[in-house]
Amino acid sequence: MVLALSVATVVLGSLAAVLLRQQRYYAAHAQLAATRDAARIAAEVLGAELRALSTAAGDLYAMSGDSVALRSTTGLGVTCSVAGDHISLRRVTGSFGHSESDSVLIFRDGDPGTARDDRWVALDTRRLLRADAGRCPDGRTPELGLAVGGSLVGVTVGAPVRGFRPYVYKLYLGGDGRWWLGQRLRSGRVQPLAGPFAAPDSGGLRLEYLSGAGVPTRNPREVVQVHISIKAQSSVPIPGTRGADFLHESLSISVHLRNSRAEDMSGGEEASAVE
Amino acid sequence: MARMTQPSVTIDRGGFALTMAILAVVIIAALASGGLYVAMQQLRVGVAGSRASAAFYAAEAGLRVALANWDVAAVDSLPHGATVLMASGQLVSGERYAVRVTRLDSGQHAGQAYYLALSAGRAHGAWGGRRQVALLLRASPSDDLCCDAALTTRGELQVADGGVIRGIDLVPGSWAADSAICAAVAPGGRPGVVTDDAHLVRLEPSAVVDGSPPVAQRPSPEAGVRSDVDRLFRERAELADIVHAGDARLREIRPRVGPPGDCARSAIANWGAPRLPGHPCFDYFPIIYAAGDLTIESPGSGQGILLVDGDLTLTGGFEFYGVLIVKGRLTLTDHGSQVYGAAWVHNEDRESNLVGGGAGISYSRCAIRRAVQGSKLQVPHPLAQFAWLEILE
Repeated sequence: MVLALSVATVVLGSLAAVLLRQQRYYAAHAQLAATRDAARIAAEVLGAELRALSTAAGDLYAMSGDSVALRSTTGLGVTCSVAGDHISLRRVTGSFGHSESDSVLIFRDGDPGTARDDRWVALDTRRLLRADAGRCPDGRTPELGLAVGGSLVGVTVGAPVRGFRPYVYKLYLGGDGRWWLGQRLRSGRVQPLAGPFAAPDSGGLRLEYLSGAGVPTRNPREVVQVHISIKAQSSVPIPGTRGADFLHESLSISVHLRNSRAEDMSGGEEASAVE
Repeated sequence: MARMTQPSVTIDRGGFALTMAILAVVIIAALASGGLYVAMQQLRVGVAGSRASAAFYAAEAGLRVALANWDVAAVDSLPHGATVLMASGQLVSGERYAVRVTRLDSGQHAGQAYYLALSAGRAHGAWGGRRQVALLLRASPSDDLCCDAALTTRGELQVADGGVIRGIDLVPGSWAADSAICAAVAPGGRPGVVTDDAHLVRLEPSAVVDGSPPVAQRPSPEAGVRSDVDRLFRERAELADIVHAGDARLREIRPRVGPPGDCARSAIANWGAPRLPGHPCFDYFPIIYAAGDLTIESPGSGQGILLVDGDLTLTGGFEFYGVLIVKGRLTLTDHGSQVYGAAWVHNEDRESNLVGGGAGISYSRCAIRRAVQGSKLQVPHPLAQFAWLEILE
């Protein structure tokens, strides 16, 4: 009897140890996956936002080593008719006027013979209009109508219209004491996007802005490339041989700003590396 | 003594080792399945990300292919809002792309057209992603680049006996034998001469000026011509393939062929081979810019866009096919020099333009279109400041 109990204890103990190790292993694996996901999401979001920036048009409002304020493109449409302060749009993709912070940039061609005086003019979107107001030159119904604040002089039918929203991307300290990548309208609340990350001073998010010469610059209008380094952190400490500690996953990408030199379609390379 | 025998009794002890072992296996299997599921999800996320990136770069490659092979004839004829498939293909790595170009402008301004090039990239494989990028472009339609007449000018114009200015659309003789050269160009006549004062057009008795009408007078040509000439110079001089920095006198202009048998485009005296349809330089249309007065004393020929900041003199039987834009005055001496296409002569100092005996200017829509399409003028340019964006689906 004693022997049987001893054997059973040993077996059950071993079994429990195996199960516990298995559980820890898979939990750690799940944490690793989640941490990598957070790093990927952050890189994807920041990369997509930065890639479409036009520094010449002032899309980069402010920049620092761990945050960036930018003009985020939300939609594109084509002017179908212009009347007073109303424009109607066709070929609409994305969104326009969904928040109070939304504005539009309308392409205004000065002298049609030269591109030197071409400009994108920023106008407030005051309200959305009935989509079927007016007709396009080809007789079709416009998809969207906008009332804008500002002059539409010089805006012609066919002019592209770009919807935008000002966003700040930054690491924010959440209520749980962890750092999260947040997206915030310049005068709004923070919307957490991904995380948690290491603290900013520990390399949670590092942004390096490079000029056309490949050297760091502080002038937003000179930026051609942005190097992003992200260090994501597991949401819970992972037990290890030297005690429990947070797991870290680092990801670096370089983003070439496609509109920084739009005229030469220079494109650019993006290299990524996961540590 | 009787021996008592007891029946043997088998006791079922009810062990639990097997049960525990099975339970442990089940639990471990469940954990392993969970781990496998997580790993599979990670694999899928990784592959999907990789494929999405491949699709994105395929879309960008498609844009470059479309720009490199811009079909001017196809986009020029597009009405407002119409779309044409500009490029499609497959990369070596297997990703596919398709680029569709839509004309955005309504045709209100003859000098420019706007296009949206939308490129869709698709990765290969079961989890192949799809991404779309777009580029906003502007280009000048070739028909409207210039010119309203065989010769547009101001001030005095003298056409000597035997001199010819024709507004009736002409296919140059050396091209007439090959119907393919001007196949896509519908004929369209213009005035012979457009000027600010028809009374200053002096025709000697045997001079020929025709067109519809032969001579047209613009009500206020001054501002229009000047701004147009300045505009054309500003834009096009920046794109010049051949530049003469000051006054120049050229005596030998002829096509050159490089060692591999290709047209030697770097040769400054090579202005194409308009009279030789089979020549490697027949489809070479340089933009030539002379910053001062230009005199050509050559029996040769050239084609393309010729911009002259000062006076232009053609002599020796030189033939030019394409568009002449001259800020000073134009002199075609009595040695049979010819212009096929159109000439825009601003004559800033209001001196006398001359078309000598045997010389001529013949409006040729085909020559104009070939020159404009063949030169860099027809390469579309991304819109200023903001042209590229990703279209999210």
